[in-house]
Amino acid sequence: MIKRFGFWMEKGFLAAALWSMFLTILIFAFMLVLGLPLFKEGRLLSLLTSPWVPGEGQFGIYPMIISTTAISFLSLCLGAPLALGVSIFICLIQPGRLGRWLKKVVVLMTAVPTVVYAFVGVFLLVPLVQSVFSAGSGMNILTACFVLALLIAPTMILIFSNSFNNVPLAHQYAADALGASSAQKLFYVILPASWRGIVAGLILGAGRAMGDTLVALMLAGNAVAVPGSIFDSARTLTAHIALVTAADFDSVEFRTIFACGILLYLMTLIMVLAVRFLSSLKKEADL
Amino acid sequence: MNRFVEIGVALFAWLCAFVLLAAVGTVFVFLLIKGGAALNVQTIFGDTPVWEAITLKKPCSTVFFRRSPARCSWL
Repeated sequence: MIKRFGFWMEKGFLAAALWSMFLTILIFAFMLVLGLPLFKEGRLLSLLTSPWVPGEGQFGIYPMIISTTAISFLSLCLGAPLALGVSIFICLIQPGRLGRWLKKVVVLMTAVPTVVYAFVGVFLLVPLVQSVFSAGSGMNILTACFVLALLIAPTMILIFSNSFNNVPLAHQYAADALGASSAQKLFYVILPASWRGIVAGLILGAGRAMGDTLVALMLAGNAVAVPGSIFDSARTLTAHIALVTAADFDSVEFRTIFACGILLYLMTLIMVLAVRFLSSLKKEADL
Repeated sequence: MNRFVEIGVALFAWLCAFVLLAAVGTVFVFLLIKGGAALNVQTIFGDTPVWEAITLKKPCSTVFFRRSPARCSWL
């Protein structure tokens, strides 16, 4: 009876895995098929390199690609040190009650919807950036990056602290026995042993920043131009998809959102593959 | 290792923890101050009695729980 139950459970899990794989491929195929007319017209290169000027028949997503890259990179630059510092605090400086309490707050942060952060950012951060930096409307790359850094930090903190905790205790005891201070233990034992986890956390954080729609849509200003500085407004690929979908249907402009979708899909795929490659390296190292 | 590095690491970790807590605290306090006062039964159901609004016996419009009984005749 138990053997039979196990057999059917195994089949059920296999079916669920195959179904999710099928759906993922289906989404990609859907975007490819709907974007096909655009590619057939030979617009692919101009799409990736030209600006977005629909009035002149130019539907390039180049500014959005640059904005997405800039916003993801800058939010990672702001969020990664914060996440690293908090992870050090949780695992090394205060591993007791305070650290555990802070970790609970971090877990709670992952459950807060992105729209809440963006909404609070609109009312609190936008006027602040506007007055401190005298930056136009205050809706620019910097504002979006501040909120995105806060948004991606919990993901990175949890991955960093897990990889810190996975460092073999024998190594840590050896460092303690040699009289290493907490900073020495961090630089000579913990960081070298958990670098793959740190890189995986950074990649996942960048992926999350790249894929987030609402923060960029509500805070980055949505200007369809290549940003010249962090005080310029910008429109990300995800925000572009959301805005065009809301305003248009079945036109060349509308078809460009499928190109955006494919591009985001490929970017995320590269990140996931990088994480998997790193975890395979980790397994080999463990063996 | 230099004593300053020791202090620097500890200071950095405390600072990051403080910044994170301050940011999260600001978000929640802002929502509580701005939203807490506005969130009451009137905002959700208007002047319609709560039970009658939930069971769709009476319509309530221009509020969060915007339902008309005609649309849910199966009840």
